[in-house]
Amino acid sequence: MATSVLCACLLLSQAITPEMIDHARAGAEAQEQGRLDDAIREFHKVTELQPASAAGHANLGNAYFLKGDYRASIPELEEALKIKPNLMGTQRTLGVVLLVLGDADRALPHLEMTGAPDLLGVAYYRTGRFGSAIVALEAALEAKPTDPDLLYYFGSATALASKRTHDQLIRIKPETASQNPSPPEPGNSPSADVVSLQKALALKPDDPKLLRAFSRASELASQQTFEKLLQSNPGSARSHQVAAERQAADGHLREARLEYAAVVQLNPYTPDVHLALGKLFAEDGNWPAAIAQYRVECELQPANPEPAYHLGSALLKTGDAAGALEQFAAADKLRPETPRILLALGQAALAANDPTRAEAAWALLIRIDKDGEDAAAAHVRLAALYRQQGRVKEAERESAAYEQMKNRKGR
Amino acid sequence: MSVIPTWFAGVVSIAAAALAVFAQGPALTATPQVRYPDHDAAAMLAERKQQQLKTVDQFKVFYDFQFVDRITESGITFVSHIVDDAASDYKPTHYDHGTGIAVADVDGDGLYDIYFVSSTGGNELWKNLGGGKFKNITAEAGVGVPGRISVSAAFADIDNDGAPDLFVTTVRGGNILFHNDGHGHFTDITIESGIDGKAHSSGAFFFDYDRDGLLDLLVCNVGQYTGEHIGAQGQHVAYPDAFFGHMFPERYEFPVLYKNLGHNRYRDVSAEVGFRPVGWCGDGSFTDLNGDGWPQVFVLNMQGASHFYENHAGKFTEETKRYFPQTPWGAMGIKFFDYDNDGRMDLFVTDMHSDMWENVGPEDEKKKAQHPAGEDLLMGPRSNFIFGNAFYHNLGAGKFEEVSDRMGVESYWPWGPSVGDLNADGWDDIFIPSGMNFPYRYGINYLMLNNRGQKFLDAEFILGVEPRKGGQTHTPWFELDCSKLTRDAPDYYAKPCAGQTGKITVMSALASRSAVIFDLDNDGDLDIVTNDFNSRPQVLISNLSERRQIHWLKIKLIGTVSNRDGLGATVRLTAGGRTYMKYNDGKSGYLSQSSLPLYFGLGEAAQVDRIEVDWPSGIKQVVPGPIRANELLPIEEKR
Repeated sequence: MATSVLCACLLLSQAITPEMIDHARAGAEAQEQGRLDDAIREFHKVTELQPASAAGHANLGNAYFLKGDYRASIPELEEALKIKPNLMGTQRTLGVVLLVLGDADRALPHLEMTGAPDLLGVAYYRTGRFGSAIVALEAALEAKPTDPDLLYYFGSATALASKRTHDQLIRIKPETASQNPSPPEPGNSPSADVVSLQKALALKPDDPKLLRAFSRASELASQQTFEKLLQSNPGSARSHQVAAERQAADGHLREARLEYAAVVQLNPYTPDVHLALGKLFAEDGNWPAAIAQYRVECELQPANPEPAYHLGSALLKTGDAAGALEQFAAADKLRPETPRILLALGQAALAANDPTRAEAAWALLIRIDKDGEDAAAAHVRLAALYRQQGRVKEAERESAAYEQMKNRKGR
Repeated sequence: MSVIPTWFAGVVSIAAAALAVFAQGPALTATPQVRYPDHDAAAMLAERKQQQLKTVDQFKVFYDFQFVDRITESGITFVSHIVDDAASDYKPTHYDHGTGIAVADVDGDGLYDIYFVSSTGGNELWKNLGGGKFKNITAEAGVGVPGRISVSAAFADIDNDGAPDLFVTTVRGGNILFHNDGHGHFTDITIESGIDGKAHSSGAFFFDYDRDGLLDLLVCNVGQYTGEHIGAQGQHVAYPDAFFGHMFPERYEFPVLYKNLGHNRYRDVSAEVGFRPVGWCGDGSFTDLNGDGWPQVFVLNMQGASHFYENHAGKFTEETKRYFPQTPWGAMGIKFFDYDNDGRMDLFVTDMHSDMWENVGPEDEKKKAQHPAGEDLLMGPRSNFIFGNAFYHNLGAGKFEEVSDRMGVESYWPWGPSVGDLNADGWDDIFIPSGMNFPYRYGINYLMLNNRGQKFLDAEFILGVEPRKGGQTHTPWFELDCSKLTRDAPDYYAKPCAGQTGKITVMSALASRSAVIFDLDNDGDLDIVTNDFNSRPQVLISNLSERRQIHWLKIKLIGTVSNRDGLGATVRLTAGGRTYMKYNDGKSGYLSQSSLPLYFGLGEAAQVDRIEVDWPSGIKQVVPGPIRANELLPIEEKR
């Protein structure tokens, strides 16, 4: 009997009724006419009539997305996909929403289902998977060779991949790092060269020759891509962003700030620009300005822990321990068990007179990180805390642990 | 933030790009022709012919005659044309469902003229000159419907003036109602008629639902399978997920029932009569199963459960579960007819879409489909559906038995059936235009001879319908520039380009979509004309009357209290000790309603003993015999 009731519920759950159709069509019409609040209301009715309708939840989530209410869109899109995982449009929309909000890790599986190289490239980039980003973005650039966003991400990914590969090569074979690599094959574009090398590296990730060749090729590709961006899209937000980054790398902080300001003027929603500006202000010691920029970035990317982390650091610097603690806690929630976040969280907690919370954060850090530099710092801070509290034995234990780490690493 | 970041909007706006590099056009003899898929259809057909010829000893009915394609001799030069969505910009979409063909004597000369519907390029009306010859009178008739994507056609006399009027449906272009002046000149009266709305219209038929003597109109609308982007033929380009549209409630469209108010005016009465079937409706028909005179309606759902409506003095209630608890999941074509001459209307529904889930070979075409989809895509439990054609044998008292497999009427890729007594033996036979085109293999048209009501036997090879004229199985479909193919091109573009550079002509399998059975050359036997997809029609002329002496009677109903066409009348004819029953629904085939006399094959009987007519008005009329066979008998309703 229970089974038949459940089956009946499932049957009912799949039935489309004229009333559902009327509301769904009214919602679609309202959406088409830009009346998004009406569309949301109508699609809500569809989900009320038919809670198990994947299309109903997908439409509702999409309407929220179009309205810009990304947080409201997420549960609806997720519900739609729970009912029907192969709704590719919904997978894409959810991936986009999460990407916009700064949660590239969550966005990635959804975007991987859709296979859209442009969005995948951005998601891979933001999750630090530069090799995959390069391959995806190169494919995307085939269709849109002068797209400024794609060029920017490709140039950045190749630059970061080059650096990472170079660091890896130094670790494996320091003596080969400075040798000249084989010249690129004639007729190959730098991008194609990088992609083919990336694919070869994926099969042999520790091959020194490949690492060296890839590092050089991607550095070259990065330079050429940024040049192409500057030539094909002069005066664009992305070209100013590239200019800003170059200025900052050269230590021209004032010029970098001006370039970032130009980016913001052209497109205030470019992710990470306010973060970068904030860092420049912070370097200058202009904390109020840095804090303002960090706050904007937090709004833009509420699912990205980086802006929250930097905001917390700035607030701590300016004596707002409670505010800092709030931000570090938010960052920790977004990216749990991250050593440097836990370290900072502990500092803020202590500054906010919450030593218990500080202790918990640092103890967790040590359990996760064990031998890392942040763990070392945590040992030191715990030792200080315990001494303050008269917990001598525990203080000595932490000091000893720190000394052990220092000796192991030859500090 | 409440605004989508523009950087992001720029990335998001990278929508799926159309393969705009391809150009559709006539094949250039200079370009290599590449068949896709590379399937040896000729060998397959030869094998099937051999197999079918071995079955002749099963036939208890006459089969020793042939159909020959006389398209060239007919003078008909019509070629149906399609949109890019079914060719160079291929995507699985309802645009590949084809178009109808309808017949009527538009100018009252006693010869039946043919109206061919084409997706693009305009429809054509061909006047029957007699002797199997035709002439294009589209321009003077004014029924070309240029600039719209046409789908179906229905002829019927909407104002009872004795001339068949014409209704044409389109995809989002608005449907058109033409008034016939009696001389084959048509005037577009759509606006004044009140028939409005632009939907993804499909099949339509006239019938008198409220028995007021005026023909009402039911229009099937499929559902939103297109978006807002306009393609090269002026069509709304189809969604890439068109065939999943039934899972989205916002994409549904309802069929519309228009009441004839008189003076060529119509009004949408769907809501007030309780007619709101949910589904993707491609076609439908009407009948009177309970003999109460009020026509019932069966509307097909090509992606889910179909709907049968009882008519209670002009109000409708859905009674599908009571009559037909299981319906074909992908219902595409329909015909009510009395296959076993027991005086009760039976029902044949063809199922096309169930066959689209897996490609099977000829050896499995007579089996029901193994539909792999889950209940979420089926929109109901599997037990609701038949995954193949359904043949409902009427047991009386509203009971039906589904006997498709026992009766041998399962087939592959069927569109809609056309029914007629092709060997004039008193048993109605079935012709099913079938097959998909690019990117599928060649699929045959089916001709099933009624073996005295016991079974239908496949006879398309025996009777010369297959193979086609000259053994042709493929036709040029579109040009493809292989040098511009992208890396992610689908197989149906990539494989023809294998080893090729530059332009090629992709060849597609031929396939028919709709057909009409009528005595084209007035020699007494029934011929078949098809409307093929993106190619020219077949004019299949029967030589039955040359092969043997046949007996038949054509009855032209003329209503006086009832609608003039007599649509909805039941005719019982007794000859040679047997009684034959036909219901006048005009349903000549898929996406088509024609204005034709009822054709009764009489077998060996040389005269008719009695004819009874139950008119829609309620008048019952008897025409006593003897009535000589082999003539056209007009029967005017007696008040």
